[in-house]
Amino acid sequence: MKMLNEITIKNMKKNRKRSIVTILGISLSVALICAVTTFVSSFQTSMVNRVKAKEGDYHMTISSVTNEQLQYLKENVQVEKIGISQTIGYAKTEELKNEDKPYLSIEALDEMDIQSKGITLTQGRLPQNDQEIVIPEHTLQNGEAKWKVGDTLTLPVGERTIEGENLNQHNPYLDGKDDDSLETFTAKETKTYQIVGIMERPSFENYSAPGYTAITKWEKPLAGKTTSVTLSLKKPKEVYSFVKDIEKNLGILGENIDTHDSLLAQEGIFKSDRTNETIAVLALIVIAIIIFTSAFVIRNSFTISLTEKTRELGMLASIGATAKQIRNSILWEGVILGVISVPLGFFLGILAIGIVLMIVNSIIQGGGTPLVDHFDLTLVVSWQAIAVSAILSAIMIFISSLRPAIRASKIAPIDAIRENKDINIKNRKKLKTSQWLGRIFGVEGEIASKNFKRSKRKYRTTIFSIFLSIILFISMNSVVDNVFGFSSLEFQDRKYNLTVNLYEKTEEYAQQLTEQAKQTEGVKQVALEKRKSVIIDPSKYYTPEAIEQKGISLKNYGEQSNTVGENLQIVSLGNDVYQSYLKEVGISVEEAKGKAVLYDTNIYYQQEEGKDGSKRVSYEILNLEKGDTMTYETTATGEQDQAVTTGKKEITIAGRADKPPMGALYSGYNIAVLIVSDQMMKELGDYTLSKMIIECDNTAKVKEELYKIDTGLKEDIFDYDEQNQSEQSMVLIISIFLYGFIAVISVIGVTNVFNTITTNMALRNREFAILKSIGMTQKEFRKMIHFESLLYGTKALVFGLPIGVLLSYGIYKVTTNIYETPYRFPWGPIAISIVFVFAIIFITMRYSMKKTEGLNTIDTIRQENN
Amino acid sequence: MDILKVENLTKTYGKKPNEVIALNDVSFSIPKGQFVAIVGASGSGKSTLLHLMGGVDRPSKGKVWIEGSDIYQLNHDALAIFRRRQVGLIYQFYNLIPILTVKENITLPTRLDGKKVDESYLKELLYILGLEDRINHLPNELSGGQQQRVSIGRAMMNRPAIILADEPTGNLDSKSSREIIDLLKLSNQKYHQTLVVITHDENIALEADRIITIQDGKIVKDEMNG
Repeated sequence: MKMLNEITIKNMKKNRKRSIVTILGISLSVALICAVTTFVSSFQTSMVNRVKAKEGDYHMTISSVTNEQLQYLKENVQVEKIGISQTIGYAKTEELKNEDKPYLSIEALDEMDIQSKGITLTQGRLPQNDQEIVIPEHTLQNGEAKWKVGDTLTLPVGERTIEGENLNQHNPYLDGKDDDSLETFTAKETKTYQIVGIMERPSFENYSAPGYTAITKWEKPLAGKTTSVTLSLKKPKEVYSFVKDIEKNLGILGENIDTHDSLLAQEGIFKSDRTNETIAVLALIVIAIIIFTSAFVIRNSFTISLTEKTRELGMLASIGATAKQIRNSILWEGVILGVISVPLGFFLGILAIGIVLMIVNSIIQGGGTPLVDHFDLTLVVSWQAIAVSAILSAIMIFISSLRPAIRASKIAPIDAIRENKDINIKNRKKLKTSQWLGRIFGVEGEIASKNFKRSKRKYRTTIFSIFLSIILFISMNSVVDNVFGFSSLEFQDRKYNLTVNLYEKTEEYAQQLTEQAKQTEGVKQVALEKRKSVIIDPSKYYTPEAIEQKGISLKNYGEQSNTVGENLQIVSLGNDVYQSYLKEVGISVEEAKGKAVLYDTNIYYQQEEGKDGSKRVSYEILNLEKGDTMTYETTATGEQDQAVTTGKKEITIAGRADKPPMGALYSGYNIAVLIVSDQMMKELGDYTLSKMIIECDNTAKVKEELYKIDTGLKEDIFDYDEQNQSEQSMVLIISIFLYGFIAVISVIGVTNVFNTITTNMALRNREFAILKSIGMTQKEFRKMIHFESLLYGTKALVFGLPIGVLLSYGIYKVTTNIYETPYRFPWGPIAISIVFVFAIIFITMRYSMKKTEGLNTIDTIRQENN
Repeated sequence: MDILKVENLTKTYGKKPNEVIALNDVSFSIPKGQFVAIVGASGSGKSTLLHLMGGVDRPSKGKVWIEGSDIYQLNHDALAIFRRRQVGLIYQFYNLIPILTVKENITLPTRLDGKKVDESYLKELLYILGLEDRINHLPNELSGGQQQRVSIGRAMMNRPAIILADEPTGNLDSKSSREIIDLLKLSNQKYHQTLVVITHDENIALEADRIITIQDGKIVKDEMNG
């Protein structure tokens, strides 16, 4: 027994190459699991921290809490922490110059509440008693107050009312301008505070709030003031049931409870069970794929050296080792392999993620202002996941290492020694290989294909590992695509990021501005939009869906009726943009000449019972097809502000477009649009200048250029990039996560393929040397290897692509529970797979070929004989 | 006419001071049609000599001419092509390509050369080798003697200028050994094939026209037989 263990260790040392390959293989699979779980947990933690920093660290807020309720909540075992705050009231001060925000809203927060609400100081310190106060920095910015740390404020504090009703931060300032409703401020007391700090605008203050939030320390309960609490539970999972409990037991109104849904969602807790289930199923699929892959990576690394191992075991058996002794020696080897490779795998996996996170962080934090605020990726290792993967790897090592023992025990020792099992043709017909391969690719191709056909066992491993990588890549891409749907139509389609309103501007002015914009650096496209609004008869041209959705009653239409009809826009965008749009939608200039291109896809989101997301529904508004002619009416504003028909005209449809033209909102115009050339717009006449639409890299720069021409443009410019910054940073975070995830999986897949192929090639050194010794030239050898690569790749793709697509469809099916989007066939991942599979195989084969070429032919032949 | 000429051939392994001289300044020549046996103790350098003669190894010093060309002046690919046309190699461990059948293994050098297989010669060869009913078998379905016969067939297929055999019977029983030697002699006599055989077996050596004895990398005896 001890003797055999020693032999095992000696053998492992002697077959260093094989041992290293096996260890690497196991490490890779451990690394895969470890990397994926670490990546996910790091990401999740960072997202949770981001939400905590931005929106506060609590599970729910409850307002208007009574003393009894407060006492109950404080003593509740489910509650982890509870923060108390009371509203002192509004303070009116002349210092604040913002017309919509004339107050300070003074809140007293206890220490826990300050912590939970994520108060971030920019200057000074937090208040330590109820005489001290912290003001938000936007009082100094849009409030234009001249306060600084150390100032003392003496303020009238009271309440806002309208018709006897108390108003709070959710009611915007009623200044009496719009609809005659004017609120009253009643001072109840005078308070004196010293400013001790300045903070960032707290996230709980909504944009329409009439008071700037100022925070003082809560020291003792104040009578007659509303009390609110922020609280966190020990088990976040219980949040939604806890809400129901306190509604029932304490009689707290549901409207007074506000769960911190965005934080809970990041922690993986959703309101709807359906979402929870969907995510669980999805996680299960992903985990299953990863486990399956890593199991096979381990199996692969054993299979590659199975033949040699079998020979060794046969040798042992032939000198009288019992089956039990052999089994034990194999287990011993497994233990050694595991002890080395499992920790190595953890190390590699965590290292890989560490590097990825570092790179991502440096990208985010790169240019001064971070691309995403409050987002700092820190490495978080999930120890549970590591334990699970260690156990899993141990089991896989055990099973895989037993295989050669079982094999060796089944065959006579001498056959095991002679390696007779590897090339095993059961059916003699299989010996036939097609003639044409040899004819086309020469004898090298023939040898390659014969090798491929007759030595299946060795090849299966390689092909399987490529196959798995393909499946992994395509299906994970699908997870990305369908679950997170961030690349959905909405974000893709809006290419422009700046618009300039041109109503009431002259055509010359617009032309000049357009030319100027086109010459600005970083500008990709500029469209000058002209519009003509016309009227059509919906009873003639509207589709049933449109009539239903728009709630049109057809009774009012028809020849006899006086009702004018539904609005239709005719739009022109300038020559360049028009031409490229035609190209994009596949209509030729000749086809479109004198006609209009129709875009009338309308999209809406249908909320469904029991689902968190909504279903995306699209329909076409008009029932027209290519070549149809439509009658429209032009209108003018009549005496009593009514639209009056001024004439009828006809227009012919050149074709339908499946993409909105530049300048359309992401969900389309919501009405039908006809796109025509500038020339035609001129002929139609009576149009209005609408806006200039710009697609550029840097909106700030373009704005600056435009202001140089006309500073008055400030009010007319709309900057979508600025508007969508938070939305975009979210998209950025998600894409970093998903592409990082895919990158990790791809790297591991590639390494696995590389490992398998190089090993396989190394084990065939002798065969190659023989071929060379009987006169195969380097060139012919390369040709043979290239041909083999081609066969490998093709076979792996033939099996991998359909199964990958099938899996991706399965994943799509699961996710439609949340978001109903059309299935997107993974063309991209398929193309990438094809290119990468061949690239990786060819590169790897070349690499191992180079290694073979360096070897002395005769040494190789002899070495392997002895 | 000398079909093979070896001049000042030296092969060393490793670097000084641990240098091992496997072959030390060896020179001789072999005329066409001669059957030469090279004998010597293990480690005497005879295999190194054979591999150098066959162009599968590279000498440290010296030259080898086969049919008048200095084979180590050829580049890598040209040498490979030369090898498949002019040299037939037979190894102790057969070294057949495991995935190719008997017929495919034998015709491989011809096919590699892009030439058409001479079917009548192949048939004759298979008959002589006693492999007619084994043509579609894979190497691992054959006995050792049969495998060695396949490798002889492979060596002879291109009618090379010279056949080099490295202990061709070293792995076989006496009956199979006898068959192999008879085959080699037959090729020598019937096709007037030049033949160089490395052997431990005195009986085989005695069948040869000439016996070269090597010791410590040097020729110590070079005598004609009979």
